[in-house]
Amino acid sequence: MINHVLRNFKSVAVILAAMSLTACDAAITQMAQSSVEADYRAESARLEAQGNPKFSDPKLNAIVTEFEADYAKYGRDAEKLKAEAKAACPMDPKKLFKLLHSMEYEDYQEMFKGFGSTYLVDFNSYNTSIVSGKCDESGVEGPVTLVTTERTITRSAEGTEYESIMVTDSVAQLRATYQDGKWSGPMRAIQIQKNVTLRPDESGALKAEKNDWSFLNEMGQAPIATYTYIEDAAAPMSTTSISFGRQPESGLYSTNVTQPIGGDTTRTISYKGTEVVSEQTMKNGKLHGWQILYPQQTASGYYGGQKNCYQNGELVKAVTCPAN
Amino acid sequence: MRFRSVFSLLTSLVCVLFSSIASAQDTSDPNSTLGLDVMQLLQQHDAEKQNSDSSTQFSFMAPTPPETFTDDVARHMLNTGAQSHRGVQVRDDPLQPAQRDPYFEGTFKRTHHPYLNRTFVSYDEGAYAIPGDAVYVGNFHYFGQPTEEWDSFPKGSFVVIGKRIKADGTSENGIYIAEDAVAGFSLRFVRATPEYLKQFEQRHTAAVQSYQQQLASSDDEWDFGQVLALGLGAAMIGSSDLPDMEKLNLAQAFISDVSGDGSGNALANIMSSYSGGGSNLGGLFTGEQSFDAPGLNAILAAAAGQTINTSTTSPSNASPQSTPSGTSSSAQSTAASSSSMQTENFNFSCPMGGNYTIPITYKKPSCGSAMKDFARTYSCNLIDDFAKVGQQCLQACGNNQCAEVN
Repeated sequence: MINHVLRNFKSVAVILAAMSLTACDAAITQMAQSSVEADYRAESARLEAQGNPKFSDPKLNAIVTEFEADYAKYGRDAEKLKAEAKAACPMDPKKLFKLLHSMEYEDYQEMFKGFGSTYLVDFNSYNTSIVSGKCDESGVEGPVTLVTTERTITRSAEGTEYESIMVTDSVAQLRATYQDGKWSGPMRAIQIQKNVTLRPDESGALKAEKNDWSFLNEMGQAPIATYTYIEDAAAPMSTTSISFGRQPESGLYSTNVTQPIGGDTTRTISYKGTEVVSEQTMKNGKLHGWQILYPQQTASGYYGGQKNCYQNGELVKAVTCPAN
Repeated sequence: MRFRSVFSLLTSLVCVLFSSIASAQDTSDPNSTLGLDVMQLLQQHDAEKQNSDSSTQFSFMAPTPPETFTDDVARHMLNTGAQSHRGVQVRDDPLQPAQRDPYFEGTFKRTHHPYLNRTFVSYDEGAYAIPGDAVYVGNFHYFGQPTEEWDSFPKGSFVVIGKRIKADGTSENGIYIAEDAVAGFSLRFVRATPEYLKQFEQRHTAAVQSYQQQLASSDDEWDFGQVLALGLGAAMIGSSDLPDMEKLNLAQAFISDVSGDGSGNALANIMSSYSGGGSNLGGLFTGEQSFDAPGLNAILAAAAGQTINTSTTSPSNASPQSTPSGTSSSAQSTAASSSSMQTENFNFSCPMGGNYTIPITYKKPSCGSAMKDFARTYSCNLIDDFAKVGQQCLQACGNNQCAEVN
């Protein structure tokens, strides 16, 4: 019956892939590619023209101004960050991980496991240098600026024909104050990363994926910059922060603004250009309350939009959804 | 027209993406050591995982057992008119290898799809397992969703009233819903509140009614009442295989969530007797059923142990006296624990079918009368009368859920 037929094909995606190989001629492919590429570039140009969001809160606007100055200086050029390194500054890799990701390494791994994926950090890739401030065998102290390198590996769809492995190389600059054994005060982090996707070939060896559609390669290889500004590094999960993501090739012009709304709860409003795309609340670092995903405008119109309820990080089907 | 153009665009995009990916392997990778390094790290990670505690989690409900409820078995069940059959059915998760595909083990029942107007086979009692993640054990209900006539794959939603046991060993009673499921493919269950279930069921009922009106001129002979009967949110809880105490807790949550404030004990008591087995201990949860699913028998035994402990440590919350359903007497007075209380077995039928017997406990006869109307209205899901019976309860008992106020 139906199930049997479906399972024989393993998935609709395989059927579609087979269709594409047999039925798509080169002209249609090229035409569709051009159309998609044009849409992407138009959308990217539209968002770039919008600039960054403006806020009624002067504190938030000051961060935007600071970001604009930083981005003008470093952009998405990892070499500019590395060029400022002065001396090696060895740090415990797991502590450094928590610093970069605001989460324990094991918790981060668990999060990916939930999606049926494996997440690994190549701790040998960690290389920390001091740009300014004090760093010796006892660690860092006082106001410091550090530059670190990191390689992560994410394997998804394990054991299936869709298995792929993404290798991410990041360079990050961290500006903060370390005092009495902990970070405190404002923290600024700039992270520039590049991805390579590997797939096993017939022999099982991992090879870098390269598309014959140059636009996909352009997007895949373009660096992604994330600039994060945290008001109080001592309480990164419950303080005001803004994170900016930039990758014009893929139309990434994101701004995520997080502000405390009482207790351990924060609200994050996300923007694409200057357009609000989502709102969500978090409690103790977990989604808690309504998550609203607004309909998205694209070159071909609006799509999507939904409202999800989370309670302590778990998606729940509910009519009312308390946030505290 | 619009649909066609969208479909055409999607097809073009799929063509583009898949033909690109199909030719995507770069055999002249200049950075060939990257692949080797990464493979080494992953192999090392996998080897460590095998020896760590997390391997217990990884092997939870795995591997997927062989399928016994095949398409042939389903066809045979439909052709012979059999009402029930037991077996294992595997569903496909394209992102998991075959030995870790999710599966259902338990009994299957005949189900009518209101939009395709045909009978097919769906889940009844049993366990839906997602290897390495969780298992949902309980009573399954299927709600058919709009499915185009040309689409031979039925679409629908599954609701489980029962227990979710996670790979980390934690378990929780509740309502779980997997919406927009497509035949053959993996289900994604999400915990649902009773209030959401109520709203979902109302949406479903309204949509089916609307569809039925569209078909009014045709000679369909299928039993629409049967479809509506599926929507009895409270009855779904009451007829679940959960042990009485756990069912009672869930029922109370349903009352407070759906009916607003106030004490809902009266109706909670009513619902705990729906399944008819006055001493229902939940066959799914007491080892009365044996499963082939890896480790499930032991997991259920452990869960049953937890249940017993919970029940015995809360004597003040003891399950109310329940009476077997199916009694032919229309009313029977018995002495209740308090001399001023009257307990009566109330028999009634719903307009859409189904006979029920439920105990009603009251002090004032006028409150007992309102309680019967209230119970029947909610049990039969007569949505239009909810407000009216709530008002009756308020007048007769001093509470809009017929909880008697002294």
